[in-house]
Amino acid sequence: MGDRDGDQDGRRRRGKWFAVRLGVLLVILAGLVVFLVTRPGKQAQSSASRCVPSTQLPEVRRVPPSALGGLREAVARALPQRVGRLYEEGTVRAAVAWTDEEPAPPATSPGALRPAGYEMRWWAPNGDDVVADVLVFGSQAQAQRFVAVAASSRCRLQARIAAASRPPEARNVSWLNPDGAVQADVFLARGKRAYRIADAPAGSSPGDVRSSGGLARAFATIDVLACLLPSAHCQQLPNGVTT
Amino acid sequence: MLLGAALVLAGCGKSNLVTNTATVGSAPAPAPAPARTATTAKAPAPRASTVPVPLPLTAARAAAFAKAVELTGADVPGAHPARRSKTPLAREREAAQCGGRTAGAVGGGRSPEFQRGGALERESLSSGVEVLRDEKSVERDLAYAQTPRGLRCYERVLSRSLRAEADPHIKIFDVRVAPLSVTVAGAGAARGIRILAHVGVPGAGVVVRLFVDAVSLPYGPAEINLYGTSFVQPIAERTEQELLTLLRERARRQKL
Repeated sequence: MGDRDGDQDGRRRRGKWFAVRLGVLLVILAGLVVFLVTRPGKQAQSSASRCVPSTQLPEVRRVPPSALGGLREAVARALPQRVGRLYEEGTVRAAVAWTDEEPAPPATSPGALRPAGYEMRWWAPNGDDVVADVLVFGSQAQAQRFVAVAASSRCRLQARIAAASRPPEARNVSWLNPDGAVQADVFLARGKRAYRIADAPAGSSPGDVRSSGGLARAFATIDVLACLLPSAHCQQLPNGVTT
Repeated sequence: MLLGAALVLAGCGKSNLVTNTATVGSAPAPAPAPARTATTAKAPAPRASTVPVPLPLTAARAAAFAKAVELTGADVPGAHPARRSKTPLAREREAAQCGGRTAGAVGGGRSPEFQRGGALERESLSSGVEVLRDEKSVERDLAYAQTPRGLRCYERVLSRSLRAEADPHIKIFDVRVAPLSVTVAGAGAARGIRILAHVGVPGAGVVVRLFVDAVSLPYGPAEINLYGTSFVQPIAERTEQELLTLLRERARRQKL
């Protein structure tokens, strides 16, 4: 009898303990949900995808796979000779300037048309995440329209706009990218092509990156790298940089 | 036989080293914490169900399967097909002894070798398919390649091969072989080897790392192989993952 009472007490205690643990787990779970819903990256990603209207943003052409070689060659010039560690590459569409989505892998069908946009991503020697894109549009006017929209504060968190130090007519944007990291972009249009070079400086938080001068260094870096792109027409380059 | 093709690639890789090293500029970069969405492989899926093989395997069927699966120029933007140098037969036999295979393959095929980039950016990618007697033969073959004994054997054969075929202007400082695993979405992992050779031009004071990856994905009684050669840094893992996924998808659409 005494044993049975003891068992019942034990079961009651265990029941209470399970209820407490369940409560704690639920609180943690709720916290996680709140964190996932409210973190800057998610906000930025959803706001970007909702905000950029497809009617105002020109889309890249579609091209046969053989045309991608020339596009790859154009962006590979941005970080030549294995200076950075290439970690990803592939085709992209115009919205990549906001979404920062990963480039697409090759299509299963070798003959399928592909978007005329190509991106390469590297880890720079200083730890920065560097990206180069080329996007080919149907006309020069579309390429210029894209750059005008992309190099604006539209649909970007904490965006700041400025003229780039180089190449001619290039524009700089700093913003909080969809992963919540501060990023520096340079955009330029050349003929039917638009180019972007982006640098997300290594750092623990956007505030740290800004206060440590990381953003200023990123702009200096991408403006020089943009001079390595085809038809950049930079007048002066820092010592040691040749096109 | 993973290494037979790797031997060819290693040979191809170093052939242009004299011109390549003229522009050596920097050390490889580290891979720090990501500041934007990083490359992430999906978790390995449970082992795929057995591949149906309704008819007896023949050399002709294996060759047709390999042809349907292989890499094409469209899969490697900016690349052009290059002529593959022939591996001496003796060396291939020696490499075959490093694997655990007891019987020859039913058949298969190789893609052209797709090369792109110049100087230090030069890299090449190719694929191969080998059809063995059954699934168990494939498992045995791939498992042995990653054992310490298998790796030591490969290292020995590769060192001999590279030194024997070396351009007189090139010095091979060392050759190391390590196991390599590449996660493939929905198909578990491809396994294989990474060969790392330090090569240089005597007198130039420059040493460059040459990476040769040879990974194999089991697909029923077939091995889907991917080979990559690159200077300074290995072929991006993401690229290898995507190409293996692509080859597997083509295999699924083709009856074996």
